[in-house]
Amino acid sequence: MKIVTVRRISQIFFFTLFVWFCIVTTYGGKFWQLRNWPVNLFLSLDPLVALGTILTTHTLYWTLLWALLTVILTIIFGRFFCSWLCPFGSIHHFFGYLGSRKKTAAQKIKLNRYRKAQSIKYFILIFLLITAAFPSLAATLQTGLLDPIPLVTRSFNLILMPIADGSVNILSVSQRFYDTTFVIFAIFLAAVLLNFVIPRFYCRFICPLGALFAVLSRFSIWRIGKKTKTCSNCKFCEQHCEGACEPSADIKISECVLCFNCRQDCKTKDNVIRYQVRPSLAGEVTNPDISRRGFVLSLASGLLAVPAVRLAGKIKANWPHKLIRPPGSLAEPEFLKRCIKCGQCMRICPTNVLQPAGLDKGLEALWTPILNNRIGTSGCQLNCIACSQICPTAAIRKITIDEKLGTGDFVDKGPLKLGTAFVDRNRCLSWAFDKPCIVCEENCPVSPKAIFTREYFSTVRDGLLTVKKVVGNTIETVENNLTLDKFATGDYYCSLDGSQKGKIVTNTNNAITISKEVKFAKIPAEGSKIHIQVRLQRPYVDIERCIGCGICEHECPVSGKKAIRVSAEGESRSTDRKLLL
Amino acid sequence: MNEKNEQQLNRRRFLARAVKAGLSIAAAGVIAKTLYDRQGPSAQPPSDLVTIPDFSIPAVQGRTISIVKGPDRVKTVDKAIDLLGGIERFVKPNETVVIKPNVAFTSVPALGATANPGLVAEVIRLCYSRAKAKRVYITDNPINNPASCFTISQIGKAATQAGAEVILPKLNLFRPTTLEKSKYIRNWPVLYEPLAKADKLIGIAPVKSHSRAAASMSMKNFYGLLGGRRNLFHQDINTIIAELVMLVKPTLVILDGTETMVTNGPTGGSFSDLKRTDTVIASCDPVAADSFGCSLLGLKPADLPYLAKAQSAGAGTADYQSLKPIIANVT
Amino acid sequence: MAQTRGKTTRHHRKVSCGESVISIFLLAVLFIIGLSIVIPQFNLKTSSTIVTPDAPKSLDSLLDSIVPDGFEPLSEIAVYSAENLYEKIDGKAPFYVDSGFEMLYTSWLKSKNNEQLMFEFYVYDMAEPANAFSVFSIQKRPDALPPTILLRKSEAVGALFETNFGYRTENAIFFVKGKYYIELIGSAESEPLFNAMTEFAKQLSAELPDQRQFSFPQQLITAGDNLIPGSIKFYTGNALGFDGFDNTFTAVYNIDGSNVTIFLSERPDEKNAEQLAEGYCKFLINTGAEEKSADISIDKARLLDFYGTIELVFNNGPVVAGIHEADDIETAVRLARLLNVILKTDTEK
Repeated sequence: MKIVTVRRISQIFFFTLFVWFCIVTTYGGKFWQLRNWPVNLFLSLDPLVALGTILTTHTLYWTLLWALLTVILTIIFGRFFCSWLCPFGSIHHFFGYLGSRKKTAAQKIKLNRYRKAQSIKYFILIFLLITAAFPSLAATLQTGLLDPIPLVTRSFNLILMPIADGSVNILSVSQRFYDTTFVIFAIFLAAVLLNFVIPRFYCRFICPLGALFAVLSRFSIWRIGKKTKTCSNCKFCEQHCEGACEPSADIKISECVLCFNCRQDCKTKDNVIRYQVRPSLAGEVTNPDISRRGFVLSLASGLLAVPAVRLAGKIKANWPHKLIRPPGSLAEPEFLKRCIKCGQCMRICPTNVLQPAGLDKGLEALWTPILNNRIGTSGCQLNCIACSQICPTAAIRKITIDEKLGTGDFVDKGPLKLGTAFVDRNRCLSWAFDKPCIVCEENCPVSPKAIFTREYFSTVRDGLLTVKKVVGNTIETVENNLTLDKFATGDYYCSLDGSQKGKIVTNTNNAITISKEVKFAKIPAEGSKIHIQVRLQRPYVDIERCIGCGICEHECPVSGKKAIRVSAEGESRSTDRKLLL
Repeated sequence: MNEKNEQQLNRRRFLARAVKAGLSIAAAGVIAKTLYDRQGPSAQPPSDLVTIPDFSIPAVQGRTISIVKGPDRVKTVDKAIDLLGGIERFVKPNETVVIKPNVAFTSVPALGATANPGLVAEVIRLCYSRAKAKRVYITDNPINNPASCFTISQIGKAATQAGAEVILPKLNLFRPTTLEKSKYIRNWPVLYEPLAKADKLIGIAPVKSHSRAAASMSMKNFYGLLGGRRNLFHQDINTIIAELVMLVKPTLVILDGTETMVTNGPTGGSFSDLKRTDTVIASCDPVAADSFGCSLLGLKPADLPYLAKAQSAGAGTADYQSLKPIIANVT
Repeated sequence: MAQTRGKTTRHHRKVSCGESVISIFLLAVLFIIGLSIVIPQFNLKTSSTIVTPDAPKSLDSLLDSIVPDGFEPLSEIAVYSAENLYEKIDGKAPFYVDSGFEMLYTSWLKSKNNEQLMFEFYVYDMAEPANAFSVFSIQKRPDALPPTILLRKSEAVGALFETNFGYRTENAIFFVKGKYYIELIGSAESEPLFNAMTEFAKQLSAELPDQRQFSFPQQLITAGDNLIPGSIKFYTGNALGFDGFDNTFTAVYNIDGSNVTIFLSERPDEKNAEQLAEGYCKFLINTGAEEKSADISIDKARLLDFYGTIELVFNNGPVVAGIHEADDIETAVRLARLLNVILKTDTEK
């Protein structure tokens, strides 16, 4: 059995596994839903996630211990992950293959030659690690932007899955929407399409995880190399070389991804290419090719980048008020130290309310999860802690229902608040437009409700009428332009000289009929005035009870800019964004 | 021969590589083990709030407050401290002492708006020669420009001559603190770093009248440890003064009533504002010290609401008599 | 070098032994990885869900596994919480919600042989055995039959549940287990259907995660041998129409041919009990009862005539008790005295 066959099987196996995990990251207990499938396996195996969080938090979160296995295997065997495991790598491998299928051998060899630009990925790695290692509160974890596992997870979760499921609606009852994802899509598409220019473009030039593996594989026990000093130098071994490491000459071990295509392609009868302990007899280069200047440059940019970005003050006084984080999220500086922007929380959220943040929330918060209450089936469901259970790095801490609702052991602390709802009195139907509506109050899920109403009677437009005659409970008016039954909805009252109010049962174009339960204390005299009033229940938010779940915002019938909106003031996770003293 | 050498070289190289690989694996393992976090992060964000240490020493009945009358500050302060057990009771050998004198204004010593440099120097001397302290620091966060204050008040010179080091209130020495159950000291910057390395804290303040607070004595002296826009608190001056003694628990306070500023305090400006009252008070309880000190201003404890506030908060007692003050005279 | 366009020529070299061995070994490793990921997913007992949004224990898997012979599920198990219970049972929802309702699991099982035969099950999680018993006992159908079921014509009759905790009607089975109240409603009166429902009820009763049994005050049982079996009811609120009567038991006794109802409620202390007794009397008087004096020989007991039936209220220590809707004074007093004696002996113990 050829080793390349096993490698291909391995790629298919892990890619299928990855896609399967993307599918099952669906809320529920069936076998094709979450259950306890290890959906974060690839993220846990990713050493860049572990290293990044170690640098920012000085701890190794327990679920990331798998990365140690990857590290140990890489130190011993080399960059096996890139061509045997990585689902993103498999995509690039496939598209690279598609792109160079019709080319001649010479053309392919030329495409796979080593290029100096392959050292760019090391600079990217250095840059990302420096920003993560920045001292104390200023550290920020941005590895998730280019780390392939979070990147491909994000691309699948937020783009490919919703598109695929959009027509069949198996995974989700209704179409799932994700905001600002065209950028994610553009990057994914660009990375995939660049394989038609140079195979494994992303892997060779950009991937910081590959760069990390390159550094780790310096001392690998076994490496690809030639077993004899001379061969015919046909360079056929480089036809399908995935890593562009030039096995025919001084093989660059740091670039070799162990695809074994060179061994497969070697034309000599007695295979020259070996996976051997001794270094290649044609020479090998173990160190990544980074110039000192490049190293210093990436170091310096990393050091400068963090304070430069923080000048915007987005985690201090200039914090974006619409940055509402999922329940259980750590305070913002801590959150940014852990979030790898993998999109798992957004994928699992049963109400589709978690969205990737755009650039407007600050550069560091790009693609981190925030709530957008207008999208999805409802705000944040009261009894749901799905996102906190799935976060691979504990940027969203694992919480229990008790902690979220403030029951059981957490009675003293009270419920977790995501923010506070604010009634926009200029847009609310009952505040601004004299239209009865208490949808927000009805849907408020906490008990006692955080939205309460106060009754208010408002005289309608053209509602001041003159009495002509009173017959029983019907008042005939001088004005005769009333719309038939307009006031019959049960919300309208007729106010007689300010004191008595009678509910209007029906009306014609010139007569109002009041409910029989009202007995006139004094029959309105001819010529006296009556007011037609609408009974409104105007909503008020009780900020001590509001947990900022956003269900009210979601249900508000003013569907564009909602008349009740949640913003993050009062969120439990921050000490400096308190609303109440 | 060459081949054998080459083989040996290869073997050596391989061994070197294998060892390096093994060490890398070991290093990775060690890092993973030491940083392993099973719990995950907690709800509370890591806070950089500090707590000012409690510098007080165990109380001894009848040796809490001493009141010494006499014209010579140096002699009266010596006596006052001796009556409470001597400096050795308060400062142990090899300890670090921070003295917080009133250096609030760019005011010459004779005007009595700042602590008397000779008095400060004497306390420093006691710390070094008798108590065998390792190091004595002087610090304050003045109202006027710090460097100028230390210079013009002559406290800076007196201190360095006596062997102490002056710590100017640079911004990076401040840290935020929150005092439990307090109204104003919440997440508020205090001059923490000098106190962080101290074992003992001694406050030295003159007795002055105060336009807003009625009096500025040993309690108000600790206003000089606050940072930020602290003048905000003048709107509720009595509460903030009471909270100061809840925040800061000194080892000892020296209240200098040798020349009391009875009018136009706290800055004074004219020698006629001063009255010779020839009294120095040493006290482990700043509230008690102030409750006696106000008498030098012709006031009663009841005239100072912050005394009652502090007492009800448990920060000291406004009834200095109950502490059985030791009274003495020194000529 | 032969430069061929398109396809590259590959020399068909024999694969070395070492390469094959390693390849197969690696294949085996992949296989094992695959198995170790997939197998735990199908092991119900050892797998625990990552996502447990609602009730700490989900009954879904248990209910999925109980399928009587010859039957199959007609639809998915639907789960309702207090928020949307009304979507399933409409006007009855407030009754359950007010009594402590937490979750409802419901679905249909239908016969594979006969399309017409099916039954619907409702499993109400009422949070506490007391609440479950309350909604069970209050809703008891008047045509309730004892839960003795003929399993097979030839088999001896056995009781499916203890009388107080279950009953059947022609087409339905109702019972309580722990904090759960279960209803099985058959689509027709049919023996095979009923047998299947009985199987379901038996298995469910044995496997429900809460096996506690709600206990009744002993006094109710010992007060007269004429307790009508299955007549004990428990109210979490509003017993006998009076909103002060929460935590109240009622039971029916047959004395000399007529049915008399006893009510009993244990209060936190004597003062509370006295106030409650007084409150009930006031309530009765406000709604038209007439107080009658009678020689009851129970301390502070009061007798009222409520439109022809007799109400008797008293308290013994922290227990409020009495007689409801007795036909005549004598029966009421007799039963009340008996009850009082039992309560006295209990407190003396």
